[in-house]
Amino acid sequence: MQVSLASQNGVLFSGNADFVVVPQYNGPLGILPNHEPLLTTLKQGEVRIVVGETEQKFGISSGFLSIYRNEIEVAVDVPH
Amino acid sequence: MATVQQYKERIASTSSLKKIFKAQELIAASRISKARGFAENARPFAETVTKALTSLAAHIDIEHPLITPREKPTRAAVLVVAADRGMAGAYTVQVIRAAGELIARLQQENKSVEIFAAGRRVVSYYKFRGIEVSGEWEGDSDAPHPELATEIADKLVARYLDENADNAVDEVYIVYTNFINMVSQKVKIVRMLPIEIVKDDENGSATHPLYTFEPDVGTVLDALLPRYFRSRVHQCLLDAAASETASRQRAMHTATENAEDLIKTLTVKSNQARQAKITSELSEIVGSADALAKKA
Repeated sequence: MQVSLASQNGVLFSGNADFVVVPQYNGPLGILPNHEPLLTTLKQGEVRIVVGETEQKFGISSGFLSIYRNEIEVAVDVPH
Repeated sequence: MATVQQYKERIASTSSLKKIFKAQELIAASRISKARGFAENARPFAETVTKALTSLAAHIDIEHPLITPREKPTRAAVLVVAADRGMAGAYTVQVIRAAGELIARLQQENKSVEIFAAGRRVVSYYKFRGIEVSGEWEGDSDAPHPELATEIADKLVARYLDENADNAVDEVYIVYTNFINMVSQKVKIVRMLPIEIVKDDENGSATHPLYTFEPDVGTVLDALLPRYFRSRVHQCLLDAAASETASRQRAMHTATENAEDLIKTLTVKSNQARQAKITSELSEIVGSADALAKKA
């Protein structure tokens, strides 16, 4: 699935991923391919993107997430 | 007629001015690519937010304080965006003139107007004339960072959603310069609040997914709309920054050319003065030689 993670300062991550974990407003949300379409808000925490064996982590202060047909778009505010 | 010495002095001072203009022109040119880089970086975020919002608007009727127009707008806020520094030709003047026209129009519609100013030149323009400014931001007008946009956007939203309904503004306008390309920039007036969402009817709602909203539509909109507004404001600031540097580069280019012209004219005059001096010296020598020859 395609993941793009962007803040107002620029793109933090863009590309294919196997597994994504985001800090949803009420707790961590793990996303695997073929997730249903979703719009939700994110709270302060860590976005984890797993590609194969590697995992990347991004700290965010808030944001929101949209999932549609294996395209995940995350717009976040990053802590200064 | 001035002496050769005086011309020489003027040529020297004009050439050093020319060097300064040239340097300013080069600085402005390098800043444009910086401003463009900022704009490029901010785009993915803006696109994500806009896309989510338009697909949301396509299949539900959104109701939100930031979108629903007020019934009888009586107060308006105007954000005027221009430069911190001069040396950019008519850049700031044009923005302020357009803002003046907008304010006059709003007042004719019986709306009271609050002015917000971004850019030192704008702030001092209004302050000098004793016009009250409700918010001011200075510095970084040629390289606006996201934090500045966030600060401005949050302040405007706060004024719009003021708890005391009689005190809140009902409309928010922004006056800035739209960057079309290097040679063309146009002052633009946009109503930013209430937000107008363009529904892309072309695709129809069929292609738009039926999203699940978590926890609910209202909360998602609360997160989405301020971000959308923020990125719109940021976009305006970035456009204004690119326009400012482009205007400055053009103004400095013209100034350099004018200095060159002046140097040319002064050099010709200086040569004429030198020639005139030589001619008069010669005629004096010839005259006195003649007189001596006649005596002898």
